[in-house]
Amino acid sequence: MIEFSHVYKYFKKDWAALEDISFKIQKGDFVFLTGVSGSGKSTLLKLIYMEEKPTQGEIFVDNLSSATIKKNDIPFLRRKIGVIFQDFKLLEDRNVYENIAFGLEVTGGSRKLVREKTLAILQKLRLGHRRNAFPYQLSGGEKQRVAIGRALVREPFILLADEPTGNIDPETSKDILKLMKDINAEGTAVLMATHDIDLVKGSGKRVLNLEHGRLKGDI
Amino acid sequence: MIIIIREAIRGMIHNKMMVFVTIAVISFSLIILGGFSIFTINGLRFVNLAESKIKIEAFLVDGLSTTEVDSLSKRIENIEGVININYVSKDEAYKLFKDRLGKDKDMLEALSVNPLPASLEIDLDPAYKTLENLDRISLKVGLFSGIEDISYGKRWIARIDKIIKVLLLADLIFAIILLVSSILLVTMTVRLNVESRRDHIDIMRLVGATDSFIRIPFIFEGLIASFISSVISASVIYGILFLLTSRFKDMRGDMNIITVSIFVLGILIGIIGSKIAVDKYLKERV
Repeated sequence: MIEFSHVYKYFKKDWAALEDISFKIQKGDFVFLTGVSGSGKSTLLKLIYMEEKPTQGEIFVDNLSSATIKKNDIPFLRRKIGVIFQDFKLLEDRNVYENIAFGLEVTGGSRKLVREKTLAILQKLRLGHRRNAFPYQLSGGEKQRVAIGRALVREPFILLADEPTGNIDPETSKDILKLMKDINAEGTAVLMATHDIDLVKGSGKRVLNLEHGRLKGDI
Repeated sequence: MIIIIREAIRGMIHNKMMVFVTIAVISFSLIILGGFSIFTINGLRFVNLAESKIKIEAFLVDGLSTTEVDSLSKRIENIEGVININYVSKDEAYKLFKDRLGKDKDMLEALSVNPLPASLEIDLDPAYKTLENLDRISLKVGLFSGIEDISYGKRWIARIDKIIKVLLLADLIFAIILLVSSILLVTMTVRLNVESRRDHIDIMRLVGATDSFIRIPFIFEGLIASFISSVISASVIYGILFLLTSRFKDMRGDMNIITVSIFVLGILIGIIGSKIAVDKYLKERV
């Protein structure tokens, strides 16, 4: 489903963000991506949703290759990938319902479909009572749940999470992790980048560990 | 489509200031362009008016018979470019000159004889009112017997020719500069608008919106802003034209053409400027 084959990413000639990265993620996997800040976690995620292209090597995402994919095909690939971030990236001028629905509207979903799916996601994420609230009225945990809702509403095959608990307290972080595990249990693969070792410990999930842009462990 | 229109309206409400600046920039450019068009059209019109008065005057030797004058007129009429010939007799010339002198006419009356010669006023096709053609035709007419002298205001014609050339060149250069700078200004303003909504665009891309989906609301915004600008500037230009034409009778407006041109141009500037700005941003980022 996702395969990295000897991937290198250079932002400057003498500075490699990622070096010789190779791994595979199968359908329904739950994988942690660990490493300190600057170890290349975000770059690796960007390579998956093709915001960046590898300098060397090849990445396969859902049978599409980074070497041959056309610019026009990238949006269609992204519709099958959900991405969430530490800073949530919500639209501040839209309420919870509109933020989630936005994920479907921009890809041309019909009004009825958008409404049905958005309401289903609101219920699933226990956000129904907050549907008219704006991001500034939400707690960190609620904001992240809205971001997850926006990613899930398109029913992606994988959810990429870039430090999703970075801006929320430890208790809420556990809730978010539990939510991610529930999502995974329903069949969506999850790749979660984090530097929070406590979250990873004892999870029993696969861990890819990055150090200075190199894959130092695949446990 | 509904979503696109909704996104465009949302965007405009969210960026009121930017929209206001865009409208102001387009309106200002169009009003200057419209004002310049009025100036040019009337400038050229006055030049044409002066040009239409250009005639070759062929002064005749004294004592020509009517038959001789008729035959001379016919020969001149056969010259390419000549459309009309008017015979001014010695007496008519005397009367015209006296009228022109006004209160100084006594000076003329003091003379015992009429010193003015009879003449043929030769009218030319407008296309032949160039320096080269006037020279050529005058030379031909001057060779006929019975012609004493030729006059056609050579200095004047040279000056008019120069004025037309300079005016047209300045007009073209100024119009191009104004058009390019209007598009650049709109591009920069829309670019600022796009930059201020980069998070929004990034989220759209993240959830799989195509470039055309992202582009259309911005172009639609450009269209609305330019439509408002066009209405404002076309109204101002129409108002100016109305005032000028009612005040100065010689002033001409071609009101509808100028107003409609300004309107269409404004919309084009808005659309082109928006498209350039969004495309540039989308190209820079994947």
